[in-house]
Amino acid sequence: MNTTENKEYIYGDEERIDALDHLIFHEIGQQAQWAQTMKMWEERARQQRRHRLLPVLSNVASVAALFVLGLIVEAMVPGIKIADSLVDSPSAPAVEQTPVQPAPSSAVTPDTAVIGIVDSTASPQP
Amino acid sequence: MQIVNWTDEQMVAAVLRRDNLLLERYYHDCKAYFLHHAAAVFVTEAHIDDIFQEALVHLWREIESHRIEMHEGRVCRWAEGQLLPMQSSLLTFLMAIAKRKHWELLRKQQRMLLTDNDRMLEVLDSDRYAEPTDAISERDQRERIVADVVLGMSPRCRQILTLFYYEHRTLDDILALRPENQTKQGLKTSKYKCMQRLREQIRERFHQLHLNP
Repeated sequence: MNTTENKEYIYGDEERIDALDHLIFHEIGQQAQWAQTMKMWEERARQQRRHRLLPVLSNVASVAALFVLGLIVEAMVPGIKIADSLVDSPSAPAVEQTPVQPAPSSAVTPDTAVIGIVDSTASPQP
Repeated sequence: MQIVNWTDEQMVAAVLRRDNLLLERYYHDCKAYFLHHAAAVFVTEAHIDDIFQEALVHLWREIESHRIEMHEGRVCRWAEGQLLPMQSSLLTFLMAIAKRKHWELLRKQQRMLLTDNDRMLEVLDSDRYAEPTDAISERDQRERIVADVVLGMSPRCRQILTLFYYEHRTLDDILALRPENQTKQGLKTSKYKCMQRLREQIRERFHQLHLNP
């Protein structure tokens, strides 16, 4: 094919296009299509990541808002402690353990149980 | 880190079928692998996303234009005028393309020279167009050469020519998108030179193989 004889005018008036150019344009188009497709995949993946992240951010924002609300209430009402209980802060005072109260005397204890066994097996006293 | 559940054969088949669902998954798996190894391969992290996409487009166009294809159950590449089994996996090949693109970018930016003793580059350089055989038609041979030369053009030329010939943007539009070009005349000259370079390289390859232009 003689390329100089098969020229035509397209894409503006300053350039001549021949059969080889058409091959080049086709190839440029094919490669551009792949690039566009990949950009679309990238965008889709970005959106999916955003959708996954949104509920997490929403939860964090809710906790932060509650914390701030707690601080405001604390400032307004003296003696009340709200904000510390919302976060697990290392500076927060340790919760005191309430000592276990001894069982009431009426409850059965190992000692009384043993005594009870001894009593039940002992022969009746005259 | 390995890309599991994918074989080179599956990838070749998916590209030829244009199975976008499968290819999208492959794309993300492949990118994860690529980013994992990027620090060891690249000097700078700039343009890594662009390099990855260009490299993958390069690989998939090679498959689409049958420069890489399955032959007798093996992945082969057109080299030395015939289809030869590939010495590396497609993933290694992809990394080699990316590395070459990276070095080309650096060379342009920092005037650095390509290292000839790089094994990754040898993978690419092993592909040569020699005398055509009867295995493929002259038309296919021409298309492969065009694909190869267009794949090898610079990012700057790719952007200008894609915007103008594929997206049909006007020179004024392109000028707005590319602040590197100062004037419309300068842009027009750049576009002309890019096209001329492509034509010359392709014709030279045609001439080497005694193909009609």
